[in-house]
Amino acid sequence: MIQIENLRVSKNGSTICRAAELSVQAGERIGIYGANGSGKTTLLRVIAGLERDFQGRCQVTADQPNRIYVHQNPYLFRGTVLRNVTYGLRARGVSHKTGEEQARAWMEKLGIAALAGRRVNHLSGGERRRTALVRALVLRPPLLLLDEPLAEMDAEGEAQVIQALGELESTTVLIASPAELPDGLVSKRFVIGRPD
Amino acid sequence: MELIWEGLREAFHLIFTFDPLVMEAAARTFYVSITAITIATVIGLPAGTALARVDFVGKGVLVLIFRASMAVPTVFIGILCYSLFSRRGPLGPTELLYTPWAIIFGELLLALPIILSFSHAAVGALDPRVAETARTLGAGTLRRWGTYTSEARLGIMLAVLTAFARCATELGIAMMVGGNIKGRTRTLSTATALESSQGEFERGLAMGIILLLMSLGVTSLIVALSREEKNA
Repeated sequence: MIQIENLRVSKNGSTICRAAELSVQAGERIGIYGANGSGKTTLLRVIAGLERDFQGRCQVTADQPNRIYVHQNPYLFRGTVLRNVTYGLRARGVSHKTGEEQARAWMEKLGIAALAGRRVNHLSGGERRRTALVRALVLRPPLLLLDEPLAEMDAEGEAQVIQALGELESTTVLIASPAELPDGLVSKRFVIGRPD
Repeated sequence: MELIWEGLREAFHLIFTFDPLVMEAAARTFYVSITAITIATVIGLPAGTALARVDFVGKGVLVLIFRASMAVPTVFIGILCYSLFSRRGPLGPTELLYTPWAIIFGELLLALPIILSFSHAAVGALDPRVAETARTLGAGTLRRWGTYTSEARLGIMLAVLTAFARCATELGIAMMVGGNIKGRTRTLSTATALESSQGEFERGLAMGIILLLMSLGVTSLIVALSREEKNA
C-alpha cells in the first residue's frame, strides 16, 4: 500500500523530514513515533499527497479520495457536527438518508451521537477531534492517516477511539506517543529520527 | 437651522405619505442596484474564488488592477459607459443609452471590482486546512469551491453589501448614462441632485434621507451578520 525510500523533505534550505525506508502492507496499522520536530507530520502529509515537494520515492497505491488525512488540529466546517460528519458522504454522492444513518451509527460508536445538532464552535477540543475522526471513519477509506488522534481526549474518548480503530479494516498510519497506544493496536512501529 | 427642520419635516411627510415621485425613484434605485449586484456577484464571486485558489502568471498584476478599479470615480465610469452607448460608440446600435440598462451596465462595472477583490481577499484568507480537508474528504472542484464560499461567507456578504451601498448611492453613472429622465431613469441620487438644484429643498432632502436610511439598513445588516458569524 505504501512504499517509501530515501525520502527527504526540505524547506528554506533545511531538511525537515527524513525517512530511509518504510513499507506498509494493505490492512496494516502502523504507529509513527519520534521526538518533537522529527518530521512525523510532514511524513504523514507526504503520504496523504498534501506535501508534493520532496526528494526520494513515496508510492501509495490508494488514490487521492481514498486516502483520508486527519490533521493534528482538525478543521471543522461551519455548521453542525452532523453536517461535518456527512461531508465526505455527500461528496461521494451518498443519499441524504443513508448518509445520515451511517453517520449516526459512527457517532454512536465514538460517543458523540448527542452532539449531532450542535454547532461546531460550541465543542470542546476532544469533541472536535472525535467529530473529525468520525468524519473520516464513516468513509471507511482504504488508507487512513491520523495525526495525533488521541490528543486532548479524556479516558472514555480515548478508549472509544482505540476500539473503533481496532475494528477498522483500513490501512492505518497514525502518529501517537507509544504510551497512548495499547499493545496490539498497531502491528508495526516506525521511529523517525531527527532529520538533521 | 429652521430650513433644515422644515426640510426634515417635509421629507418625512413625503416618505410617510408615499409620495409617488419619491417612491418611484426609490423603487428604481433598488431595481437597478440589485440587478447590477446580482450580475456582478454571479461573475465576481467565482472569479474572485478562482483568483484566490488558482496560481497563474500575471495573477498579482490582475489583483492589483481589480483593487485599483475599486477607487475609480463613478463619473469616470459614467463617461466610459456614455462613450460605449452613445450613437457613435461600439454599443450604440443597442440603443440602451438613457435606459435603466445603461445604468445597470455602469453599476456592474462599479460593483464587479468590489465583489471580486473582497471575495478574493476573503477566500484567500481562509485557513489552508479548509482546502486540504475538503480535498482529502473527496470533494470535487465544485463542492470545494462551494465550501470556500460557505467558510468565507461573512467576507463575501460584506463584499455584496458594500457594492450595493456604493451602487445605490452613486450619482455619476446614473446621471451620465441614465439622463435623469422622469418616470424612466430617475434614481434617488439623480433626483436628489435635481430637486436641490431646482430649489425643491424638502423633496431633495427626502430623497437624501431615503438614501441615508438605505445606507443605515445595509450597515445594520453588516453588524447583524458579523454578530451572527461570531455565534455560528
